[in-house]
Amino acid sequence: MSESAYSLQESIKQLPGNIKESVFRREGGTPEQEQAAAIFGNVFLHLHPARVHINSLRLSYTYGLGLISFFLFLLLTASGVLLMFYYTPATQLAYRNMKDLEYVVSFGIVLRNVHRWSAHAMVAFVFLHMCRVFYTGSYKAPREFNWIIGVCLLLLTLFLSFTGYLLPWDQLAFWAITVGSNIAAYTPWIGDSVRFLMLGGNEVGQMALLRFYVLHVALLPLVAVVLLAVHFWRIRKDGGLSRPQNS
Amino acid sequence: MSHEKEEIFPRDPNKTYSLMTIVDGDSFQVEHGPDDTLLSWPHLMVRELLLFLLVFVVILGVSLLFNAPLEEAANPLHSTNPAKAPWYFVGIQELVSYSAFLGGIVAPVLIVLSLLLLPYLDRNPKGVGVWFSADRKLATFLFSIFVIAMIILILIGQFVRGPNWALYWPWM
Amino acid sequence: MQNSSNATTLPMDAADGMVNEDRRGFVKKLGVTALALGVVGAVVECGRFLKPNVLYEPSRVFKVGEVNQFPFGSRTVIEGKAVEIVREKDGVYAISLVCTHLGCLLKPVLNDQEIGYSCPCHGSNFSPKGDVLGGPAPRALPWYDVYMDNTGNLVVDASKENQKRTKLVV
Repeated sequence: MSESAYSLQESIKQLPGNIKESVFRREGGTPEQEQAAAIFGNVFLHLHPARVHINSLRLSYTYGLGLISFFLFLLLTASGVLLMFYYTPATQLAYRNMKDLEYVVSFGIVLRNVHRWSAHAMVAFVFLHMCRVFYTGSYKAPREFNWIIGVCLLLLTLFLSFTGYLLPWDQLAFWAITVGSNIAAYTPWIGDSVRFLMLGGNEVGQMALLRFYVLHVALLPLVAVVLLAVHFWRIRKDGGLSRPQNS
Repeated sequence: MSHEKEEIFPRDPNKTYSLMTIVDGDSFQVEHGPDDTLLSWPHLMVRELLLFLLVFVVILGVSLLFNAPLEEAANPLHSTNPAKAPWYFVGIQELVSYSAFLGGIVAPVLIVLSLLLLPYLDRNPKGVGVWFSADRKLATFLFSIFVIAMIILILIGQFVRGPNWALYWPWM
Repeated sequence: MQNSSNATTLPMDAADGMVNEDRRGFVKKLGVTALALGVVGAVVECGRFLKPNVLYEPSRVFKVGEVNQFPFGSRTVIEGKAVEIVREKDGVYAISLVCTHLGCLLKPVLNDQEIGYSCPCHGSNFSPKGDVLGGPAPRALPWYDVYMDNTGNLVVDASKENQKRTKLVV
């Protein structure tokens, strides 16, 4: 090869094409191949199969309940990360931060509302999604394991919501967590240790706020993301959404 | 070999067949019989994006109209009356107000355990993919009892329990 | 030694391609055991790490004031400590104001012969001595140790329950 093939001028000419090719990592094909590659050539979308059964697209079958739950999770992640910029997990500051979000920060109240209402909606929709899966018998072989992961995700959703409940540090939060942690203390034998570890002390205070914060913004979302990925991937591996056998 | 081909694409005796054209085999469907699948892109993805848009718009609309609740700052010296857990735990709290151990530990643990074991206990493969299939009336019935009980407990705890956790009617 | 040549003989070759299963099994067991020990150790360490050694909470042993601040027949709520000091003819005792049900703060009921305390959260009622009269509370209200220090102040030790419900005679 002559050196001119690698000249700067040529490189600049080919720049858009080369960047595009390096990002999408595919060469042209038939339209059908291109469309399939749009799914399996994408690290996020390849959790989907390249082709889906028409039954999966019937809105009256799934009502999109699982997808709605996932979209709410996305909204919660986005609004939650933004809210973190104005929140301090300290008992003297947390409530003041809430008031600041309400009256001082631009669009602060809207973001807080989005976060709160999405959280309530997510608990409801995850539960509805579970009902859909039950009533259509979709937990049966070969989808047993995905049902288990789904139950874990329901519990995670509840824990995420519960840990977030304390963060505004208002009366509602304080007494709800006091009551909740005392329910946990009724566990036989280890109840008091569970409560002590959960609160990081004997009463709901600074340590409890910090613990709930770390669980809420780091640990639980991380676990949820991993389980969500497995949950979606298993749908594909288990043969797509359930459907009547003869169709 | 022709026998195998027929299995892929079963011959309908009511139809006549003739060769229309020969095309290059560059489709994934070559050597496959007709099936009821569609490409995820665009058929599935476009629907998903539309649904996301809908969810986003609804949540944003609700957020612009209604403010999230915020009471006065936490005060360990004064219990609110009544002190309620978040709504999804209020059903459990209602049980707890009868018996803390049975309602707060035994019932939730039993619920979670039975949910986890459900697919291994119900091995009947019938009725998959159909809403309220007639083949699984018992399962539908039992699960409905669970769902309705949860909803009723949550409604009682959330709306019918007043100060001192006494029953009161919200419209009175 | 048999291996007098320069070439090092691998154990696999030594047995004519046969694997030494005993040795392999032993190494496998050793590896799995080490891994299990490591995981268990890490879990225990994490659990212990999460249990705080120092609590920045108000001390559970605290002074409540001199005896003459509590006249005979008085019931005095100590703000912020969830404790009530009761002074009777035959002595003083300190009773917890934390509901044994779910930890709500009890409200003392005055001018009632039977009910001494009631819980605003779930409606448990307690007698003036702390016994459960009704509601979901599973246990009676604990009495705490009370003693007088050398300055004449009453001191409550909320970390020790007064099981026998003895009154401090002053």
